[in-house]
Amino acid sequence: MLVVEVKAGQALVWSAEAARTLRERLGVGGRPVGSLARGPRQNARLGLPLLLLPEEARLLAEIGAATLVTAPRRESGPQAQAAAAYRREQEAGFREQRALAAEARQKRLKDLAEHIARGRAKKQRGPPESGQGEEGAGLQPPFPETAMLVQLPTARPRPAWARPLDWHHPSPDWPHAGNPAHELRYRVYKDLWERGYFLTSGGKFGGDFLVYPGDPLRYHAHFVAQCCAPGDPLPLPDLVCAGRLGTNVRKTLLLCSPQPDGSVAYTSLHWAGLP
Amino acid sequence: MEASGGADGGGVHPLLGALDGQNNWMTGHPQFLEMLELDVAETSQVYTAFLVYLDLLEARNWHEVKSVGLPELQLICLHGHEKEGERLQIVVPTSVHAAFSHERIREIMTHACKLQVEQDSPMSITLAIVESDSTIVYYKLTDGFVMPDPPDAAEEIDGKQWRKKKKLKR
Amino acid sequence: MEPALEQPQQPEPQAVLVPAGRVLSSEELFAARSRDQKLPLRSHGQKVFLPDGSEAQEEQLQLCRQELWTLLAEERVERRGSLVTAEWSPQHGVVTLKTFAGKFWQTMGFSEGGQQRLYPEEAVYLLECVFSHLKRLGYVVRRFQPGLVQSPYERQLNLESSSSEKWHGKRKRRNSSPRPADKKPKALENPLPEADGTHEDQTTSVQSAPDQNSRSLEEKPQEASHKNNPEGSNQPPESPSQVPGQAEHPGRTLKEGGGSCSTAMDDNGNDRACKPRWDFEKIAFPNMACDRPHTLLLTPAPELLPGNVTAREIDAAPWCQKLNQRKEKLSRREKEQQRGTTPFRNDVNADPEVRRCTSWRAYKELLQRRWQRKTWNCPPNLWDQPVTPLLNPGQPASPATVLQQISLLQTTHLTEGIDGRLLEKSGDMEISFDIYQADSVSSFRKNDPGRPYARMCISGFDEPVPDLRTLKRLSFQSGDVPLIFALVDHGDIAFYSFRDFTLPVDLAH
Repeated sequence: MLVVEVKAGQALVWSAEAARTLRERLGVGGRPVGSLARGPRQNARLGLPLLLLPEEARLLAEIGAATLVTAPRRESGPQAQAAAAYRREQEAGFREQRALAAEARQKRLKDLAEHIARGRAKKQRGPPESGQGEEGAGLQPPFPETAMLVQLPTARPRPAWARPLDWHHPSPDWPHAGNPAHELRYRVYKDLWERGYFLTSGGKFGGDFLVYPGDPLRYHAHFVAQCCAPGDPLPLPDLVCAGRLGTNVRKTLLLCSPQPDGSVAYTSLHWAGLP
Repeated sequence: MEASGGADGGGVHPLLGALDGQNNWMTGHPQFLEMLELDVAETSQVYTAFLVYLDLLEARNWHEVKSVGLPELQLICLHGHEKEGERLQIVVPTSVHAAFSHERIREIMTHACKLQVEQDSPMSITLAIVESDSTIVYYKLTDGFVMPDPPDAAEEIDGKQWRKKKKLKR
Repeated sequence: MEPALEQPQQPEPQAVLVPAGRVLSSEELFAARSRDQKLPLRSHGQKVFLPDGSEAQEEQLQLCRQELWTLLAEERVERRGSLVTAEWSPQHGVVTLKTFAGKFWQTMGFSEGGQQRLYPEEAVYLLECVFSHLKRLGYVVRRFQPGLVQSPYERQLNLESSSSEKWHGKRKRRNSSPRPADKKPKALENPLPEADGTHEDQTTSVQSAPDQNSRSLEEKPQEASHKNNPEGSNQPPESPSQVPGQAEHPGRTLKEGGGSCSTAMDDNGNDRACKPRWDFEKIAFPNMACDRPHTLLLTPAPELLPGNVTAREIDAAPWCQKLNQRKEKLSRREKEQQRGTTPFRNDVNADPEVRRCTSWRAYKELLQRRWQRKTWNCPPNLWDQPVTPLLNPGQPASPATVLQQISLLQTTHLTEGIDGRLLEKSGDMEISFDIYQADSVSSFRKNDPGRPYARMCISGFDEPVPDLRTLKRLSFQSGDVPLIFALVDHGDIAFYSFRDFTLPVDLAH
């Protein structure tokens, strides 16, 4: 079961496998917000954890694809036991790595010796020079502790117990429940998701969501979705503004309003640009 | 001939009111009178509709424009063809200050498109928004999902060619 | 090697077990030494507009996705030797380094009580979205330190270069909302003798204050030798914090000088190095003018002088005597110039119309014409009424000046009109970070960071746009450093700023 950890209204996915399942099988992308292990000093590509929109997290919980839990707290108080266990692990790991290093070195020397022997045989030189290859075998440079490789885990390296989150009711960790703006957005999100669209946050485009016909990795967004209640005042200057923005970025502005009967009404808006 | 301005509620356009009684080409225009006679909307809406009518016909050279009353909405809308033989377009004039909501938009769309000939194509109207200085901006509203123009189409053609194409269109 | 899974007991029946993240075995760790370090460029072609269900598109998508999962699944592996150990202290909200810091110490962290510390956001990029975004781009990001905001005048005086290295002592912590008083520079001890002639808070003994001799501030009064400098009563020091500079007690004066330079620690017990402040109201310069001759100048404190310069005490009385102190006698022309009148504005002969006159009569006619023109241009019905024309015909009347005269609104700048009321905290927005550019990293000094490239406020898209009052307050706090607003939207950040500009004036007509 896929677990989504929630803290202060933010829903995070910490495993690459889970992220993959969500994206490939459920069309929920989230957004990586952590540093990428291979390139921490750049912004173009980010890594785990994956931040989910509140709507994404709720949808996953609703369809039973994931369990929302409150991110488990570290137990307070002295961590002596855990620290001791960690040190033991590290020491064991170090011994293993040292052994691996020795093995690797032996192999290298052996390969080198063979290579030299082959080379000599080719040239049909005189008597083999003694023992250069084997000299190094006796003395092994020690594998210092500083050379040991350590993993800085992204996710918690141990399993932990967590309390499931009740997303039906508001709480400090999940303030969205009951918030009218969230409820509105969620109904639109769910409807668009059911129609097969891929959604991401649309703040930069002045809207609630960006709507893609497929995975954003490969496809351009078609719509900027603006959620509004049917009766909410919609001043025309704002409409023109949003429409302008959509035109500039080659996306249709989509007005989305959940209807009392459970459906969602969509109106596309684009500049008529009459000649 | 119905007098313009005067005692029409709070919807009297200041300009019309000021020209009351004088020789105003606008208030004497047959189309304006026709719109007034539809008797569905306040004078200010008539004025707005009239401006859009003029713009479509004179400035944008539409082939044909005629005014249609929507009594349930108290609006005048315009049915027109941009070019002869092209499909009907429904234009709804409105002042920029008019109160709107998504619900209202859909209401207008529903009523305006009842008279649409093709029933299987999605409801679509063009909202003509008239500013207080008489500038008009047109936005097309369609029910459902309308894909934007693909980026390649505009980018493949370079600037000159695109402009040439536009000219030909006219 | 699997770590010993010490699974804690299930605390309650509904509790969910969050599975552990991936833990690398020793073999995997060892193999990670030689793994690919390069980030693949997004080289799978441009994005496509419309999915067409084709195999080609599907293939591309799979490639992109596979790359993404590979990158996401990679764990961080580092050599033990290049890592620093640190301890997180939740109650204090800081991280304390247990081993020595590496290169990052140049631009991050702070010292406290002999230990190296990091703020949470510094220690873990993940905690602050905006912080890590900027850090990854290479900027140096520090918490906003209002005490370091330099006024333009201070910058003009180039104070930053003068004595920053000398002041390693502890400073009084600044409040987060700087009052105008906070901007006042700290008072440094004044080695120069007091010239009470220049002090406003001089007592009424000003008129009769004859003895300018600073030695009077010390225990031994000393009489000046100059006859223009009659002895008088000892002047008590104007402010207790001023201690006369004595060459032999430089250390003492340095420490005692500066009233606001206390050794108070701030709330967190952090001492932060700030720039020294000059309290110009307390620094006196000797007045050696003829009205209040102050002629005995003591040696300045050697710390204030450049290294290769020495100074000695001097009694300037004899020099003053040698000066010519007679009042300058101005010629009439110079007097008039001083008064602001210039009777001979132009040379009469330089006027071409005058040149064209061939006789006295012609010249007189010219003068007459000119006089008439002048009076015609000022008909009494226009100019003798209470309401007069806006422009005088004789005035140069470029469109710009006309517009200037009729304009009701004056251009103003964001930083104008700021007073105490405005500086009261209004709204929740505050400046969070000082940003320094990436290319200045090599020359960046934590104790003297210099002027930031920008300052940053963090907000969300759902929060209201800051009102004018907040903007003014924040701009003022930021000084002349541009202010950037970072808006965070579910992990996505956008940066915005307000630009000052002037509306163009149409002079085409």
